[in-house]
Amino acid sequence: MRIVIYGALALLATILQMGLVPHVLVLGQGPTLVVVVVVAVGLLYGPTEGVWAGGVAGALTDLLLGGPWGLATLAYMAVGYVSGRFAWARGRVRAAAALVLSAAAAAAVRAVGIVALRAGGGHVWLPGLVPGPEGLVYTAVLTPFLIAVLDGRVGPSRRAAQTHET
Amino acid sequence: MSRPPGPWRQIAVAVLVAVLLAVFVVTRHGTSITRRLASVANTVIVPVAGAVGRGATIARADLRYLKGLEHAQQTITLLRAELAQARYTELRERAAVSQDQTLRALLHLRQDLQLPTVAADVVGLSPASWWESLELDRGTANGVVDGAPVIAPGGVVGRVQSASSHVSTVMLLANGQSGIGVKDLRSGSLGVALGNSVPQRLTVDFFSPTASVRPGDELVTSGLGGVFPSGLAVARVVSVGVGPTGLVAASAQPSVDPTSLQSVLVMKVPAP
Repeated sequence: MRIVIYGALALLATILQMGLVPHVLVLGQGPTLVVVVVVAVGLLYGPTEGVWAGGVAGALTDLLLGGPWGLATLAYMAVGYVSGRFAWARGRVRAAAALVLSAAAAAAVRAVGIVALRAGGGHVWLPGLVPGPEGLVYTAVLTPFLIAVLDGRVGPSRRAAQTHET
Repeated sequence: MSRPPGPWRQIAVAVLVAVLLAVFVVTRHGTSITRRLASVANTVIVPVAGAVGRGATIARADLRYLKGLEHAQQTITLLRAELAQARYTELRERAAVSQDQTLRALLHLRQDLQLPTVAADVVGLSPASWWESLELDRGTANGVVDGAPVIAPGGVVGRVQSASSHVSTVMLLANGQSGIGVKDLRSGSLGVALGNSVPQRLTVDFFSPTASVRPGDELVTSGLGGVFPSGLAVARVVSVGVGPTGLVAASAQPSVDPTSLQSVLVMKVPAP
């Protein structure tokens, strides 16, 4: 079931990335919505869910790109896992932490994208998937808002805390 | 506390990572399968993303249109305020022009009369008896005395009924106690115009049973009473009949409308 949910979320993020983001650019840069989704899920629901979300979102990205498979999947799984571990370690999610983590995740995905470009030759990432500095900030700012939407608020995550306690 | 991952789980994760890396190495230059699958996936997703993009374009256009409407609304509000200000300014200018015309007319009248006068502004008019009296902003301190004639560019207004140091009350022609000697400008017939407390209406009793008076005749001061100089407009005949004494009597309308007066001239006469 969660594959379907995360798949739908990743699909929605991808569609918005391709359709909406080019219309809401700031200084010519847009956010990386897939990163926003994976980080938000990881922070809210823990590392396992983060890995699932990252895996589904990465697989979808790999599928759409038509280039080498596996690298985006691995990258997003790592992002989801680290986000989930971060939530576990802290027990609660704050907006500032979400900002920093999502910016770091977007930068990591950018680095992986560069690697893929060099390794794959002709591998093309989705528009906005390899953001510049402004795109990193944009991505970071959006993450707390998605967390608020998914969880109903920005701040301590009850679900992550409960998962941590169990 | 979180439960640490067991060895099987670690092995599974390691295998997954290894498989994904292997897939990456195998497909690093792209394969026909990956390209075909990407083509199929993009065939589905690209139109949807395009529709979203068109929606965003339309939304931005609508937003721009709404902003334009808002700007237009602000402009309309601003223009309305400016229009109200311009109307107010125009009203003030018209009032100033009207006052200027009144003052010029008064000046001409003063020059024509060649008599000592005091210019005064009308400062009070009773809504209940506006045809009987009005208040001026000049009094004895300015040389105004009881009984002094009051005139305006249109003709005779009345006489000062009482004067205090800085304010005086004028008895208008239609006042029940008012009487003024008049002459028919056309025929020269003499008479006296009496007020009878009827708004803007005078009863004129002529001294001769054969007086020639017609409706529309101008009545001017006769100068016989010694108070008003002769030749000032008093009233216009409205109707002619016979009075209780058998003499010719007429109904006349005063030449000056006290409701439209702004300024008048009070003639300086010796104190009684």
